[in-house]
Amino acid sequence: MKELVGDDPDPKGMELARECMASVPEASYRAMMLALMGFDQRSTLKDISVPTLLLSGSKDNNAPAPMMAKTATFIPSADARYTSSCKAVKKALGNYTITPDIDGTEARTFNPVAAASPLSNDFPAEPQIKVNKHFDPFGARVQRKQYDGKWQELFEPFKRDEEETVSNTTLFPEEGPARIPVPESKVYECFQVNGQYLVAQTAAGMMVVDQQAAHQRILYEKFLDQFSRHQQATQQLLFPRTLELSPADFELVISLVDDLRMLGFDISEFGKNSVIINGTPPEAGKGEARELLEGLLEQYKLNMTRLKLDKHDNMARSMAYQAAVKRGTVLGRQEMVSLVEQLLQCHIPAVTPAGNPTFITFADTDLAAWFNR
Amino acid sequence: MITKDGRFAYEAAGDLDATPLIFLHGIGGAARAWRQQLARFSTQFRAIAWDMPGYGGSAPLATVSITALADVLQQFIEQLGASKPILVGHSIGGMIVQKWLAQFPKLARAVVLAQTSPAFGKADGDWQKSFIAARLGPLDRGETMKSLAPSW
Repeated sequence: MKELVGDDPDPKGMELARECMASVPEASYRAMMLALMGFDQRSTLKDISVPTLLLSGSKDNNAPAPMMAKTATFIPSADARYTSSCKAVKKALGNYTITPDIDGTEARTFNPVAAASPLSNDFPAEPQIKVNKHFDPFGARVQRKQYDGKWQELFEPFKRDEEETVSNTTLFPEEGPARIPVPESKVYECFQVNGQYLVAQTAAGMMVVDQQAAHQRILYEKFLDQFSRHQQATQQLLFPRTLELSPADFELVISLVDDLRMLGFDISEFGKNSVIINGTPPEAGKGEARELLEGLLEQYKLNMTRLKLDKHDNMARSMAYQAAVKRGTVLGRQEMVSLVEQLLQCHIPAVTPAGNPTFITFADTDLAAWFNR
Repeated sequence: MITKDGRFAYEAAGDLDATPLIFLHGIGGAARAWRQQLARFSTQFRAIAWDMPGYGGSAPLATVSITALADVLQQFIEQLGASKPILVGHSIGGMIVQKWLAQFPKLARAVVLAQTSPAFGKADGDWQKSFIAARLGPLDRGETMKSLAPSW
């Protein structure tokens, strides 16, 4: 840890960085790591024609200042600075970066820190990296612009504040804006694959939607909305169902009865440890009312032990999971189109409440790339 | 916030008509890592930070490459209607900016490349192999992102 931060790290910034890292989906992290492989833009640095500022941290061993200074010498329009005295930038960037050891000149090891964390007894074994001291991203094959051998001068300490560094007006010459059209988010065509996925054509390209995950997101936001507006809609059951519960579950249902009403349940006490279900949320469709309530309770209790959610968030999630259309359910065209369009109208459409993806996209450019066009 | 096409989650502050200033986080980052910067620069800019595809509330890509991310960055910019933006790329975000510049050389007002590199090297290099192994190895052995996070 010490190797990764400066002399006086901001504890709040550290905490934020830790939190961000912890919430990165593992699959995405892996995919990004692998995407680094073979990255090489050295030959196009000379073509960069817009004003370019390079920032590096004086304590940063991952993207070391000399390497970045060297990079600057290839960019005709570049300005290189380091940020040891630039507090605002340092907080977010230079201090505790996990920038990959790109240059290879000074790779480090992961260094578990014995932080006050519930995980601290449980740290992973410390992985080691062997360093190729000779790896140089500026091998012989790239033509460099005139190099005066005085790059060290770039690293004279700057006494500038962040305002001067970044809002330097000469960096940002005024130019007339060019209007870029914004595509609509309408579903033109949609079909189902394997009873699980929906393939939809939108203005942005092709989307593949996980129908269950998408429906969870839609219902979750809908139920949250119902809680915030105290709205309710109930489908009355033709044959009310009685349900006998354990004493603990019975207590739980009774304590939640008003909240369950906001979700669309119509439930009342029915003798010792029993409740009667007179109505269920319309979103639940024709599912068995007893199974629905039992499933909801199980999920709710599970979430309670594993996650620190507030009551309504937990109920909205649990209910969304219970009521979402299951994998293997065949959907009609109108249902599919409506599902995808509702998804795109969600506040956070791309992930389920638990953070799993709801869809992936293949933009036209992605498709073109597949066909080497 | 979410773009109209639903694919990108982002945070933003500042006047919609001001010069767009777009922050791209690194491999362990998130839009919210830039909150201080958004607050600071929103007085002069339309300051924006995206969740990179597959992060936070942004949809993952079917195939991830720096080229694909650069394409998608352009789509994100178009979704925002952000003409002539200034791009600030940190770490892998800086690589995405470099690739994007190669594809769209004239679309930026200016760029900032922060703590990044123009090259990672070949996949079969010993150093690169061990770089990846050191980072993904713990995950392969059953560690989680959460347990890795305190370790850097």
